[in-house]
Amino acid sequence: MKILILQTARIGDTIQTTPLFRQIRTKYPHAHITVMIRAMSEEVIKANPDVNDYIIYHEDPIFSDMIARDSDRYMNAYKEVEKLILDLRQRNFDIAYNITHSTSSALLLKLAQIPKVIGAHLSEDWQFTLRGPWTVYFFTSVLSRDYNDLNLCDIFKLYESIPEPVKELVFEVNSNAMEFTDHLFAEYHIEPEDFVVCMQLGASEANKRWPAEYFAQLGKKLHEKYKARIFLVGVPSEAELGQKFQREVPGLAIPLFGKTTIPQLAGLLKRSHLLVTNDTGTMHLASAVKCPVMLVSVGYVHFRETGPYGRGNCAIELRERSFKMDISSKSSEVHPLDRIQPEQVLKAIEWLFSMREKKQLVQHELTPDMDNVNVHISEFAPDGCLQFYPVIRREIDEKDFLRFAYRLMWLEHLNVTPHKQTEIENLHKLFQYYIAPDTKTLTMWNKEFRGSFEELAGKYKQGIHITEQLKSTITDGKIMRAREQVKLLSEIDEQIRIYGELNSYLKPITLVTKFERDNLEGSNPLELAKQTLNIYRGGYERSTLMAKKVKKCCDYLQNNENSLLE
Amino acid sequence: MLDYIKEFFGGKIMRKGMRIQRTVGEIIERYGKNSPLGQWLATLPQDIPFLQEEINKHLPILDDNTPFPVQVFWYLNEVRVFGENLLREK
Repeated sequence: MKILILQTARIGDTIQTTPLFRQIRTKYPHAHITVMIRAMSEEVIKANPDVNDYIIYHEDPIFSDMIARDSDRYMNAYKEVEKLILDLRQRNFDIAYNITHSTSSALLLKLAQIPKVIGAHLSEDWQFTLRGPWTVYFFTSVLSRDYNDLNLCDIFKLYESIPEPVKELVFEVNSNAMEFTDHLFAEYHIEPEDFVVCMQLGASEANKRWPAEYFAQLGKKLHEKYKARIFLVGVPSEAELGQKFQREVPGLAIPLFGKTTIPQLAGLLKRSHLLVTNDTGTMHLASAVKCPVMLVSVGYVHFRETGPYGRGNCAIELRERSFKMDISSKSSEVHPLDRIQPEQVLKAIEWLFSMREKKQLVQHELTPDMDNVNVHISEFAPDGCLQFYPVIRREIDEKDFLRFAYRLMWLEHLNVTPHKQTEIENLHKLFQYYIAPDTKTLTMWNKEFRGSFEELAGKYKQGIHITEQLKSTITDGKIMRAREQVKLLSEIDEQIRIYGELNSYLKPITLVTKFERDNLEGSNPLELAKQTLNIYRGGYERSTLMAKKVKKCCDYLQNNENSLLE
Repeated sequence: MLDYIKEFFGGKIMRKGMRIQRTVGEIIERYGKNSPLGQWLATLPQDIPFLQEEINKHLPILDDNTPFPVQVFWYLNEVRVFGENLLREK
């Protein structure tokens, strides 16, 4: 069997796809697996034993050639793509997994004439479509991130499930990389007992960066308290951030901007005791080589989705107070409570190491100095997927509650946890780290949330009823009646959409429906009606299941309230 | 006079700076009229510039009977749209 996996995003995304590579390798041990990547990810694939071959996708030069308004360069782009398509056709792949979400990637696989595609694809009538339930989840969860409790690595790996799911990222560090680290440590007189910390100051976007000065202050504290030896890692363009760091604490850190290859960086991380980082590719590399990660999650970052994959990593984020800044204030300075402070990250690091030593999650009571932040530690949940558990003991809020109910719903709906016992273990493991709300609040959640999901289910039921009638109408050839029924369905779609807009916590379900309704395949009316029926049935199942999960979570918290408060 | 210039200098007058702009007719001469690309380009007006913005105006809808060169041009268009959207988001 010949398999193609298309992952043409950035390095971090490629590393995040390595659990899927391993799942596919486990399922098809004798398959020939080829991965298509951008040049920047080449070293990641070379360090992956599950992949047989790779194709470099030169999207950036193709794009540059097209925007140049130059006939010869346009022809270069044409020739490059022609060669690529013919090469893909010649390789006769049996199946392709498309982990890239663009229409262009879907079109490329269509033109490559691969018989089976999982992920984004083009239908028989050349319309963009999604194949596979987890693909739909991936596409729609990004539009309602607050309610997504699953890490991207888990979402990707579920594109192909196996009985014993993979729980790690894969990157094999070669001996040359370890030699590089030995030389580096010798050059800077780093001894085996030294506490080695790497810091990644950059991030793909400015708003995802914790200030370099704060990194410096943290570095100073780590050095004073633990005699930490610090390396600043990153690409050459991040050297400017390193200069800011050095101005704050001259001579404290060893700058390595642009001085390491990816395998060398992996070697260094493997020998380091900690990486302090923004949300970056380096973070995923550290997770892959089992270097503990302290993620300072700032800006538009959802650590549950993109955070470090693996057990025993830490993420710190601001609580929602940051959105309640005093807009009347004339000062351009950021309020201290609206920034994660170096002291807070230091405390989180100390908690992380204490937990790693005890090999279990230890909670801490809320203290005023940590009031404005959330600290979470990663661990695999009984359902086999990664979960970030709270380190600071607090009452569970609405969003956490619903996010977790959604996790239970999706995993059951998409057949990951069909066993009730696993779900109970999930509930027990998570809720032990929260204080249960009072009975009044739980009763309100149960009534309000459950009521909304049930009402939504009612709208889907109407859709099912009308679509069943529509099928008969089409079979009987009553065109005018069919038109009226299609109009009614459009009205129901609109009601579902508006209901989702009014109650944002319903969006993970209503968005899937909208997405599926917009992506019907084919032009045969009866076939379209059948697909529509399945969409409403799916929406109905998800809504009723969510109503049940809300009730189950409320019941669990209510019955165990006393023990949770102990 | 304009007809004379057009006939004898063709796409060369469209060149600006270092950019090379050729007409579709010139591209056919260069790459051969018997290739699938040449055959499809022959169905287009010969004096239009061979540039994405111009070629896109002549692309038919994609279906199972679409000639291979059209498929490639459609793909190029998708790459461009995706890339430009990405740049806008950044």
